Amino acid sequence: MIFSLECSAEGAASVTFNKGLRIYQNNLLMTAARALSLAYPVIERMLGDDAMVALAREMLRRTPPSTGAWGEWGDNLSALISSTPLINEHPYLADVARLEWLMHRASRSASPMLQVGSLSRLSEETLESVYLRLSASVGLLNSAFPVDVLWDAHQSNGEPFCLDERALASALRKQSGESFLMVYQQNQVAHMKRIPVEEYRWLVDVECGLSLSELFDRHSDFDFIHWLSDAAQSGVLDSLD
Amino acid sequence: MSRLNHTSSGNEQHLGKVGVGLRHPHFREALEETPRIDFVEVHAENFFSQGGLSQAMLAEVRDRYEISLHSTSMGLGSAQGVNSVYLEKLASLIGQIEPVLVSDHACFAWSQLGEHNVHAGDLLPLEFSRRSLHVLADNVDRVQQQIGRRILVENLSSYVDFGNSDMRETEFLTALVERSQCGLLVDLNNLLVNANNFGRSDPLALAKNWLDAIPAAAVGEFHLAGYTPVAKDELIIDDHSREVSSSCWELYGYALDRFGAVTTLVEWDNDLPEWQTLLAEAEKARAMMGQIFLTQAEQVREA
Repeated sequence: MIFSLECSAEGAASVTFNKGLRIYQNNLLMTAARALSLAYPVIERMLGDDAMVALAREMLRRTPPSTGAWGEWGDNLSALISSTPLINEHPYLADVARLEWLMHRASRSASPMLQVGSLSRLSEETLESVYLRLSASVGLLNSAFPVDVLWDAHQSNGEPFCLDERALASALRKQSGESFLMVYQQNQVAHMKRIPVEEYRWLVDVECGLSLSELFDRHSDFDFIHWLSDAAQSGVLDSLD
Repeated sequence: MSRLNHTSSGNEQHLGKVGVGLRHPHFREALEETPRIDFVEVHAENFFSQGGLSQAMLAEVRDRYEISLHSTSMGLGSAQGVNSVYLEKLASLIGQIEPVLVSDHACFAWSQLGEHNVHAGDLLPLEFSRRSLHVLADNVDRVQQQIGRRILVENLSSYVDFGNSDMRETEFLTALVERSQCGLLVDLNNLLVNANNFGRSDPLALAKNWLDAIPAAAVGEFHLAGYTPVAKDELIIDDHSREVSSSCWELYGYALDRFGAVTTLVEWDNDLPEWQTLLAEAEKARAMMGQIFLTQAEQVREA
C-alpha cells in the first residue's frame, strides 16, 4: 500500500488509517524525489521540483528501492526519461542523466590508489596476458550532444542557480556535436573531462578486457606511454593484472 | 536463541553524555570548532559509499568526536529478515568508525513486491504481538551476533494503527530486551507524537505512563526533538524540524528523574538551524541533566 501511492483502505476505521497511510506515501514520494535531486542536480535544475517528483513517482513504480540506502537508488533515470515525452522536446536529457549518474557513482566509489608494483608487468616478454584495470570510479559516455557543456552551465557552485544563457550559447558554439567523456574520482571528488575519440575507444576496449597485446594491435597509433602517465597520476588506472 | 557476551557494550561507560545529530550542512562548522558536545550521531546509510568526500569527512569527524551510529533502514521487524548486503555494509562501517552506540528502530522495511525484494524507504510500524516480537527479537539477535555488540532499539512514531496488537508497546519492548539483550533508545518526542496522534487524553501524562512501564536498566539513550505543529484533528508528523518542544523538555526532566543520567541526543533533521542553535539545545539538555543530579545528590545527603 505504501508503494501504491494512490491506494487507500476501505472500512469503518479507514478514515484515520488512510490519513496515516497518506503520510507514509507522501514521505516515500518526497524522500525519493529528494534522492533523485541529490544524484541528479543538473536534471533538477533543468526540469524543476515538480518534474522531479513526477519522475520519482514513476521510478518508484518501475524500480522500487531495494538496498536500504537512497544514495544507491535511481541509476536508471536515463532510461525512464527516454521513455517519456520529455525526450522529444529535450533529446539531450537522457544523456545528461547518464552523465550525472556516472558522476554520482564516481563520487561514492572507493578512492583510487594505483598499485604501483603491478607496473612491473610491463617488463614481461609477452603482453598477451597483461591487462589494464581501471579504477572503480571510471565511467565512459559517448553522446550525440555536448552534454559536458550543458552540465557545466548548470553548476551552482554553492550560489543560488541562475542559468547564463549567453555563456551557454557561446560554449555550445565552440563545442557542439558529439562528445566523448570520461568520469573519474580524484582527491575524493568526481571529475568529468572531454577526451579524444581515440582515447575513448581505447578505454572502451580496456573495459572490455582486451590484453595489452590486443590493445596495441587494435590501437597502433595510440600514445600509450603518455596515456599511462596521465592515467596513473589522475587515479584512472588501478593496476596491471 | 543465542546470547551475546556483552563485555563492554559501551553504554555504562558513557552515561550522561550529550550529543547532537550531525548532518552534512553542519560538517564544516563541527570540524572547525572545539567540541562542546560529547558525541555526534550520524545516519549509517549516508556513509555506505566506499569512498569519496563523505567518507573523508566522516574520518575527520571521527578524529574529533565520538560517533553514535544510527541506522534508519535496518528494518529490524521485517518478517523476511534484515538484508545481508545491508548488514555487511553496516558491519564494515562499524569496524571503520568504532561508534560508541549503534541503534535502529522497532519497525519493518524489507518486503516483497511481486517478484522483487523492496525496501520501504521509511520506518513502518509493527503490530505489538507475539508473532512480530519473535521476528524482531530474532533479527536483533542476528544483527548483534554479526556486529559483535549490543544495539539499541528505538520506539517508533507511527501514523497508523493496524489494530492487531495484543500487547502494549511497553510490554513488547520490554520482552524484546529480555529476549535479545538489546537496549532501548527511548525517543521522547516519538512518545509525544504518538500520544498526540492516537491518545485520548493528556499526551504528556500518557508519555509519562509509558516511561513508568519501561525497566530502567533497559534504557541506553534518549532522543529529544521537536515537530511542526498541525491543525486540530491532523496527525503530527515526526519531522524533527523545530527546536525541542516544551513538552519534550518536561518529559525529559521526568525521564531523567526516573532513569538517571542516560546518554542524550538532540535530533534536528529538517529546516536545520545554525550549528550554534543546535549546540545550545544540547547545552540545555546537559544543564537539566546536571540539575536533576545535584538535586538527587542533595536528597541522598539529607537522607
